[in-house]
Amino acid sequence: MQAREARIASRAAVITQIQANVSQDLRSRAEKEITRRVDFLTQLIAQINGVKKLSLAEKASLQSQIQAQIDGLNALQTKINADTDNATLKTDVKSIINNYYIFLFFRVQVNLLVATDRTSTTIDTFSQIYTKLQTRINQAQAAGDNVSQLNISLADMKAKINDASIQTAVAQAELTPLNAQGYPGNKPSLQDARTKIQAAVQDLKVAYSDAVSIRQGLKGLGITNPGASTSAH
Amino acid sequence: MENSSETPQPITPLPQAPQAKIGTGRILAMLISIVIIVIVLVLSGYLLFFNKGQKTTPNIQVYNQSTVTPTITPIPSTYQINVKDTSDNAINQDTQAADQDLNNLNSNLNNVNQSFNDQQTNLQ
Repeated sequence: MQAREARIASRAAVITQIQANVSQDLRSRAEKEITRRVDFLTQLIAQINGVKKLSLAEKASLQSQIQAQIDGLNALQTKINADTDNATLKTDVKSIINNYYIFLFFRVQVNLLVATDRTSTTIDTFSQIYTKLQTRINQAQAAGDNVSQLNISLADMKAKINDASIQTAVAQAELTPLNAQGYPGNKPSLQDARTKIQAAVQDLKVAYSDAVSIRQGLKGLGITNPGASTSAH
Repeated sequence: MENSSETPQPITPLPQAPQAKIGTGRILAMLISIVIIVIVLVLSGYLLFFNKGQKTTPNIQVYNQSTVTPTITPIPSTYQINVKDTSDNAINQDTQAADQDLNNLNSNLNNVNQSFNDQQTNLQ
């Protein structure tokens, strides 16, 4: 009879130990995922500061939503560390899985906003280069040089800059009204914004080739460093 | 007839060095040589050991260094275009800045793709 009781006690101790190991493993994986998300979200808040095309109010709103996620994750981490029974621990860990889409949405949206913003800034740079090249071509033409080929490249450059500008504006308009609650339903909009940014970048690469080609063409002409250059604008 | 050339001359024996003196000198030279060899060996061993000790120090430092995963961030474009300067030099600089912007854009698009492919830790 005593031997039977001892066997039961031993079996119970083994089961308790196994449960403790499982809990520890689950707790450690949960901590890893929470830390990963908090690190990314913290980075996103910093990246939002650098976005030029968002208003201060838009930045503040987005940052406060992300900060709320960080706070929630930190609170969850504290709770998980304090959980004493497996059932509660599993429920808490499950909430990390359920909240994954919110994290994913912010990660995708902010990265797209940053890319859109940089595309927009790069378009500004290309527009200024375009104006300079146009000035130089006009000067060369006035000096009697044949600039027909340069004008073809310049027209292509302008078309690419315009298209990049349209693609970026549409992407920006698509991204701004989206929110985390709409994910994954709004995933197609995020994917479409990415496609538009990719198209805009492709346009700018062609515009860059045009600019380099015009620059080389101008070097072959008589006017290399015009005196009227500083009064172009 | 007197043949003086055939008269045998007395042979004077060559003076020989005293045997005992030569033996002592050699032993002394051998002892000095042994002492010198021992000193050289001890010095070499010491220097070898000392150099080894110095070489192992940097390795310990390397093992103690923690590995940090670098974070790749796009280089911010700080270049400002002077719109009034249409010289060759200015246009060269402007296009270089544009090229840098395009490189940064590639990096941004890479970040976008990574975010779409994000995978969470297995928590099942």
